[in-house]
Amino acid sequence: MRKFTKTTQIVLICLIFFVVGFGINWVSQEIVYGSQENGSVDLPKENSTPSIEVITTKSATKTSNDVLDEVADFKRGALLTKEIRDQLVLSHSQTKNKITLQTSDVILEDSRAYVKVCMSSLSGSDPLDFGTGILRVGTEEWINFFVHKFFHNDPEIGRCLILEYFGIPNIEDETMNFSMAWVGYVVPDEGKACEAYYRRSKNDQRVSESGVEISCDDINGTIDLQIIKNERNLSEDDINKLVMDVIAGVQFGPWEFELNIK
Amino acid sequence: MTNSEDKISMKSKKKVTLFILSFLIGLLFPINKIQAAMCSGYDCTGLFADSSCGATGTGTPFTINYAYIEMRQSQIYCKAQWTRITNKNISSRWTAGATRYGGLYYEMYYQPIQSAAPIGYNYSVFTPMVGNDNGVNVIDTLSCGNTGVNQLSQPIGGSQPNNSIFCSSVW
Repeated sequence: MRKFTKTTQIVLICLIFFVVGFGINWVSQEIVYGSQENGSVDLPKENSTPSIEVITTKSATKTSNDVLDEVADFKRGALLTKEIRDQLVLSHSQTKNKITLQTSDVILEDSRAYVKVCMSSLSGSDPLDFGTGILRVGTEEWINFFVHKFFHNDPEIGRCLILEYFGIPNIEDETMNFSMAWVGYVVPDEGKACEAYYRRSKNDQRVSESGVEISCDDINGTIDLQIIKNERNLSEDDINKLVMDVIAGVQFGPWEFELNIK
Repeated sequence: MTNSEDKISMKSKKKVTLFILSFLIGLLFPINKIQAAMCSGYDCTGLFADSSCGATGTGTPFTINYAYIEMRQSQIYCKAQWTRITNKNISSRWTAGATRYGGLYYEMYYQPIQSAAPIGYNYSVFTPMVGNDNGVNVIDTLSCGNTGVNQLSQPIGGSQPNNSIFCSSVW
């Protein structure tokens, strides 16, 4: 009896050691697989010395030279520095359709315009990503930018990005208009679109109302769907669209801000 | 040391060894979600990444013409890199990209992709992979992408991707 008790104790202690080891194993693999869609840390690289002379355009009307300048500026790569990042403080907020967008003012430096933007998530859903971010002054607008990601722990602030617009000329105005007409979910990692569908469809009213149940397989970036249940007799095209819309998760604003130029 | 003390010490050592072994088994226990990578290094060239690759972003992604272009890589499992292109326009658009490498302007080789039809907002496509040389040396690549209302001609980035606004360096 005594021997049995001792053996049981040893087995139990072994089990505890196994569980501790397994726990460390699991946590480390979670870190390795820390999916970008859940907001991985991707801090911007420090500024590197520009290899091309700084070019700024002065005209508000684009000429072929300006287009060339934009390419040359783009080829310098992202120029965000820690100093600029630290100066981008959230100071504007707007809520539309239960989603709050917060932005900083604009910092103009070296033919670049920097704006920090944070998007809250819908309750219990995945983090959101940008739609088109348009920066405007007068009739001139910019839609192309580098994207710097941040890890943010505050669920109320949500996912934050710094958008670094390039090819920005000298601007005399004191404010710029920044708008985002829509946002959507972060794109799932490769091979994980179906996983994202299953997770996101739980909170999606369109799925419950459609009466559709599907089995999903992700092959080479193409989603293969098998219809299990189709209570309302939707066409195959409509079901495909429903699945893709759930994965994309578009939410309309628009969110529009008048930002001070620093 | 007496004989009985020796026996006790031996028993303790056995127990400790057993505990350490249990810990190590736990530590190395295969977890289901980690599958063996489908390929590794050079063997991945031309194949599409899947969930076994464990993709992460790298470099600084950018947008051009409503295309959101991300440089993707799998350092640990597939040991390869590729490009993902997402349509950020609310209208459906043809979405295409290429991972370019080799030559003076990265013009020599490419792994291309184009959506089969115009795709909606936040839909994405990704190029086949470019595997690391010998599974070790990362090949210098450019990530290129674009969207359009019409089908796009490949390879994106043209004959001098190094000088194209649709391409950016990963590393």
